[in-house]
Amino acid sequence: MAKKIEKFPSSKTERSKIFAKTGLKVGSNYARYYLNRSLKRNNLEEQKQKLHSDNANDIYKELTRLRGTALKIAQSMSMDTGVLPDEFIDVMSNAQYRVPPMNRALVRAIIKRELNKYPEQIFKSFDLQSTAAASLGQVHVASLKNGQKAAVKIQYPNVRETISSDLAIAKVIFKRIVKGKNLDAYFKEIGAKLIEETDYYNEGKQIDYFSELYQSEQIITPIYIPESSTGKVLTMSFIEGVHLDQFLKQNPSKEERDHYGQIIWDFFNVQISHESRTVYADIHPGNFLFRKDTKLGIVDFGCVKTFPKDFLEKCILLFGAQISNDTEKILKLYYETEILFKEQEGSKRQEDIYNFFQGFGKVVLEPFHRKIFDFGDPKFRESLNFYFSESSKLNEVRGSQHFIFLNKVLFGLFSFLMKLKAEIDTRKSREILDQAIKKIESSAAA
Amino acid sequence: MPGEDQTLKRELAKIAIDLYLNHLSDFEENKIAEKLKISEDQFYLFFKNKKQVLHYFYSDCIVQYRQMVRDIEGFEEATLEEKISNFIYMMFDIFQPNRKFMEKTFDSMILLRIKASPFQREVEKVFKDIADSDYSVSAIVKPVVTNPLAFEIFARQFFLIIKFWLGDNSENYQNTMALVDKLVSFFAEAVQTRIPEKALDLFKYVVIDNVHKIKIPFLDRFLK
Repeated sequence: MAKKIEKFPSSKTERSKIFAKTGLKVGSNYARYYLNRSLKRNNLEEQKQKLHSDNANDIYKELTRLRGTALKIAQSMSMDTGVLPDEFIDVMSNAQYRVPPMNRALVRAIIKRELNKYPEQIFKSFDLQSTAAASLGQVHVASLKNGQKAAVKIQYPNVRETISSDLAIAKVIFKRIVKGKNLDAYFKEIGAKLIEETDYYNEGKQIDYFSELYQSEQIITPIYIPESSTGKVLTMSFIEGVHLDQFLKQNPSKEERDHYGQIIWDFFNVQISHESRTVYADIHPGNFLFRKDTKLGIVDFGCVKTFPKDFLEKCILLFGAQISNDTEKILKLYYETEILFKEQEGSKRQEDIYNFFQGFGKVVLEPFHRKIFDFGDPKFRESLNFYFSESSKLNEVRGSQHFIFLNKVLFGLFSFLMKLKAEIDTRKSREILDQAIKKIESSAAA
Repeated sequence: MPGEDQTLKRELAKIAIDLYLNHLSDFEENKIAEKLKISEDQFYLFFKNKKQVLHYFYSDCIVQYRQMVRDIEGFEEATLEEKISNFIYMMFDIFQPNRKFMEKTFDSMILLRIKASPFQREVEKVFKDIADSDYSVSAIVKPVVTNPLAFEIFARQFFLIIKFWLGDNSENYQNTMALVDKLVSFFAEAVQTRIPEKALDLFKYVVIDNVHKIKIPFLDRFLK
């Protein structure tokens, strides 16, 4: 039997009401916290954690009802910027898989409207029960008339139309929790990406792009099936395999874990230095499949980021400066990437931010200091967790808006490799990075 | 043969709609018959008059819906919400090729009619069938939602949704789809609620059984 569908409030007033209610709840959580603080009750740290946890749960509860873009915005702001408290990140990462699915009648109706026929007329078989329901759409398993197994992604109705209003109202809520000169630019960037993510024609093109470039003996990506796709329905070949948690339950050998870890590590390092500057930005366990033929399956190409040349070059130079500990260069690049601001020079805040990013950069680039790096090393995990939790204490977004997706890639990649406890040979990636730095420096000199 | 009759009637309705929309002066019984190359007498074997042909279009949409539903695998297992929304979405699919005709006739032939149209009666039957085949509706709410007046109200609500759809200019009628999703979801939630049952249970325990000997003056007097 189908699960009960939650109603999808798509009108601006109704969505605003939910946002307003969420804002009020967050406000009252804060009021309770400050009351306790003013009454000088004990365990202030515990109370602060409870405040974050209450806020995260309240926001999550209401945003899940909104499904669509609101939930996606919340996920982006919590998971990709790293500025929200840990409790938010925990709640929001779970939210990715717990969105109520659409009812089966609506699924049929959307397919009929988009493809002019009912699923049973287009496909040999079509499972009306979704296999995964995420914030913007859900995935169904089908088989084509020729027997080929396919995955069909269906977008919730009216999702695209709610992006701008959701963003406007979400800003009001997030400004209560996070500050930052660049906050508006961050929201603009998230909005632009959402517009892209809700265009399945665009995702089809991205599937083709990645298939062309990265399909190999080690990586398998889906094949886009344009004849059964539209802007809101996306059909592609089905990729078999098990997700990370299932793979780990099978007690894989160290060789197996290292094998897959190496594939994913190389995949990202090649992308960062590729001349197209286009990077797969949606690294979470649900998008990777571990296969019997030892290939790594990669699915869901909705969130792909093409970085501006200038930004990516500065980041690569920053990586290089950080590895060689060239403090002068680091400082210069911090200003250029808007991590530091000239007008705050000499302030305590600026010093704190500088120290934080210096420390964080060192940890993030630690793999490049060794030929073989063990992502299962508990010390590395501890250091990284320390900086993640420190970043949330900053309560401020720093750096250009393009960092959102670079952070998303880094956080996703590291957390994936740490879960996998893989040992990675970083020599090739170091070589690629050094070459990229040389190329940028020589072209700048020329 | 009933199947052949149905095909012929559908053909006649198709011709009648075309004449009504594009050549109103030719919208006559003899012209409709002539277009299908049958005699006028034969026409009257199927329909009393030309208006009835137009009404047939609406009633036949329900026949088509019932035929299509039979082809949906596992439809009996669908939830109440899925059955209702499926009915509405499928009806829009069936209506779609004749949307223009509906824009011209829906108000006068269906929506604003004081006496129920044949189409309305058919819609009421569909709602009755859905209600009869569902066991999720709360026992207390069931008598309310399964009486003829309720089916009439549901049919009228459905007509208002059709009216909304006819004026919907959003891409692929997304606004209507979202509205139906919300309305049906709300309706299903309302009729499946266990609140009235729980309230009755509580009332019986506190007031009728009165195990704890609680005195509620107003109710005591009322129950006496």
